[in-house]
Amino acid sequence: MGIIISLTAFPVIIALILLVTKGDKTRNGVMAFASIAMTAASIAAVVLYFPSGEKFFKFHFGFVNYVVIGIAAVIAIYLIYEGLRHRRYAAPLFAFVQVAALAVFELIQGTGIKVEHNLYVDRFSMILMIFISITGGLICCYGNRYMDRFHQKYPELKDRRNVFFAVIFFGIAAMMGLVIFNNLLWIYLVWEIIIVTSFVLIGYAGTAGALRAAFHYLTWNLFGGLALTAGILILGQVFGTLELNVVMKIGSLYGDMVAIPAIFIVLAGLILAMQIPFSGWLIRGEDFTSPAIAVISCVTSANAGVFLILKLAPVLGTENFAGIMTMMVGGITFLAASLVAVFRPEAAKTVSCSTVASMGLIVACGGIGSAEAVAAGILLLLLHGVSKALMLASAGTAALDHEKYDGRQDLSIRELFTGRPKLSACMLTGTAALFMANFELLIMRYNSLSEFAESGNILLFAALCFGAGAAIFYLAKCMGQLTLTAAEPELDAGETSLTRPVKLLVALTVFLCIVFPLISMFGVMPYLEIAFGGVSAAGNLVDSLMGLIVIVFLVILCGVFYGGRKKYVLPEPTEGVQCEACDIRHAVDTRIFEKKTILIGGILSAISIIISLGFMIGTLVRLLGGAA
Amino acid sequence: MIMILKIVISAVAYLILAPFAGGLLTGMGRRFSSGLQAKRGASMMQPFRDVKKLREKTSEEDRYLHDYYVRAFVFFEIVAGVAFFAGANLLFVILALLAADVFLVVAAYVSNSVHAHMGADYELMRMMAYCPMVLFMAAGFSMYCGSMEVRDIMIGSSMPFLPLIGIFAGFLLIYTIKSRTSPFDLSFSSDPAGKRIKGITEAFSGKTLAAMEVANWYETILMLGFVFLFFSNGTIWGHVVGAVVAILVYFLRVFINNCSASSKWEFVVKIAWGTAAVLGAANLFLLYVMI
Repeated sequence: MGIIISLTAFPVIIALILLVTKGDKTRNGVMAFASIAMTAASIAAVVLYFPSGEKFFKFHFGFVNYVVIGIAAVIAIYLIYEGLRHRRYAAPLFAFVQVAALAVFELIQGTGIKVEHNLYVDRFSMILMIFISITGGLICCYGNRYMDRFHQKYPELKDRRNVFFAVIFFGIAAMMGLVIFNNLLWIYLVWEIIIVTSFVLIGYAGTAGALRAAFHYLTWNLFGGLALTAGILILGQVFGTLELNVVMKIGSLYGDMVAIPAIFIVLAGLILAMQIPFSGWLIRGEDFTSPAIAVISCVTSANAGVFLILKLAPVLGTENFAGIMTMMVGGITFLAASLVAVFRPEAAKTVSCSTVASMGLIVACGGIGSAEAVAAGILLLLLHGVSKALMLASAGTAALDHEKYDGRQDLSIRELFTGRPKLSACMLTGTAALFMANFELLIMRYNSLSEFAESGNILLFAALCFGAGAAIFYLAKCMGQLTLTAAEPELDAGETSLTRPVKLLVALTVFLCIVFPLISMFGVMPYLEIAFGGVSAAGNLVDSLMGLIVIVFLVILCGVFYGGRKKYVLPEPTEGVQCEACDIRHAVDTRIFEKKTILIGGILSAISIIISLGFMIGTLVRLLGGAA
Repeated sequence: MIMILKIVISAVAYLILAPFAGGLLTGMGRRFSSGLQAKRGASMMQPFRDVKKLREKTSEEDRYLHDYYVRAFVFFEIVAGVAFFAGANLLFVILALLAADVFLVVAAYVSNSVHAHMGADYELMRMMAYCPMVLFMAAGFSMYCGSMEVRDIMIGSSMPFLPLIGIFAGFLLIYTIKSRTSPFDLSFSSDPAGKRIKGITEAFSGKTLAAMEVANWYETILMLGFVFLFFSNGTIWGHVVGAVVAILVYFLRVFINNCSASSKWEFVVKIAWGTAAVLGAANLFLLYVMI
């Protein structure tokens, strides 16, 4: 158990150390050491606990719950202060209400509720632990060098790098906690920590745009926190439990009833996982730093939301309103985000839309609630995290060095990567991996596709198919343009120090693509056996086949650039018409299209959520009426 | 053992025979097309002669990157066809087709010509248009025949044509789109500078074009194989009907090509997605209700 606890506590200590570290090299050393240590510890945990599958730990200390509430209160006070300082009032209000409600609950009722196990670890957690350690570490490594150049380029911005990286490690600690905490109150705490850390990261630049995005994120997620609080309160008050595994057990018996608190928790997860209409801050894209976004979408925030939904998947499904809400929001998000990405040539938009779209896919899988769907969701989560980190790192590096970059993020892929063939090759690898990951989910997962169709949820299935069409468009276009820039001669070597972590990320992406059938066979499937009680054996064959296909695709597409590049030559570019002006997408008024798509998507999502909440109220009334 | 032998034989048969069948069909199509225009037209062996001539063109320059990607395109097209005729899962075939198209798009980009880039954009629009319908088709087969494996569908007990008629209609549309013939050969929306039918192949030459032509023959046979699938019910009659309808569909496509002008990409996407949404989704829903 010591290892598990240390995986949460250790990053906190590292974060505190990072707060006071000033030098770049020292910081690098500390973060590298931390990442390696955490990976080692995660692997040790795997060795210890993998064979047994699941293990629960008591970890009782009477005062721990008070400490938890105390920390939550402190964070809430900070958020209230920040909100009032910038004259935004919704966020402080939400923060106050949640923490007050939980504090009151804990003080009055909490002592009465017996919590058997506060911690647990299962295969899903362990896979995520390793993933967070490695990916988080690599992103920090990249981030360190990036922030160095970033501050050189923008000396007018306040240099708060120590806070930046400390906050990242607090986030990593919180993620580690999220995958091992069984006590829902504690989960609420790490939830809050993740929100706060992301808030700081988004608003790091301190500019008006950054703050606007940060508060947009904060307000929505605190609203999600309200939902989470409601779910926890219902569970504590009505069901008398605060433990996640007990919730799952009840869920398998009384699906409908558990759906009531579950829908709240899932709603919080949807907001955190950047579904439409909650993802405006990301898609609008203002003044971010690339490592910040990488951390948020690949390691902490988005993964946290999706993790909760996947974890609760056995309770969801096509029969109950919570599942249907999740499925529909996920599908609509995927479709809308992919459509927006089709018509926006800017690189940053494409990447952020693909993140939102992938999250939508995973969320839809969680909503379907079957073992195969969850398997697909988990694998997509892992593959997406790594390939998206790679894409963000490559794009961030290219953007930072670009002369035209002024933080407004409106360069197209072609403009961004011209003359940087090595970076293009890296980004190409990431995009190809993401492409294959998305289509692995949609197409190769025979079971999940036919389930989508047979579930009778034609709307969801249609949304996924159309979204797939749109996704093919923008991903293939990306890959095409990147292949071109990767084949062009090198114009500007740029800072080589930045490209080293990017290359490490490439290695990690390729490694994960090779290894994921094994992860699926030995990690995911056994986890699903326990969570769902039985999985079809067909999955293994599909995975191995899929692994082969992914690697073949990657090698054929990108292999050219990593070896005998000299063999092939690019023809002379044709003279005459400027390429960008003839871009087909200029035929459509893309800004209006984007607004309309997001609006319609948002409305449809909101309708799904409201209808589901309506069903929930109906069920509640029926239950209460029946009881009374 | 017999199973594996059957698979190998079908795969090899496709590999060897499809180009000939495809080329012959192309030749007959051209003859038919000329006939419609009251001309005499080239002989039916002309496509083979064209390919032979293209292959004879040697280039003294270095190897171009786009040649490599076109080869990848051809490879995946053949893989898709072989998989289909070996009885594999429909989704795998679809994925191989999509991957092939992606490589074609990449090849167009890498050929560094502005016209090729525009052609690539149109090709992408085409892909976006046909992708949903083709997935609906797979789902339809899965729901009606209980499996998405081609070999299972082939020995199914009843003809999937009628229950899947909406999807069949949609598929015909898709076939026209995919084969890059009118009215879906996509000219520029408002530019009077002329058609960009085969913009993607702008910078390709000689052996590469020959490879593309052969890949197109493989793809034609594969598409007609899909049509055949709609009629297979395990009996010889089903096979015969399927084959006849497939050939008719091919000539229907040539006929439509002759009769229509090009259309804008907005129209193509709208009509493809519209058909998928209306015919395809309605069909699937009816299937769900029926089964």
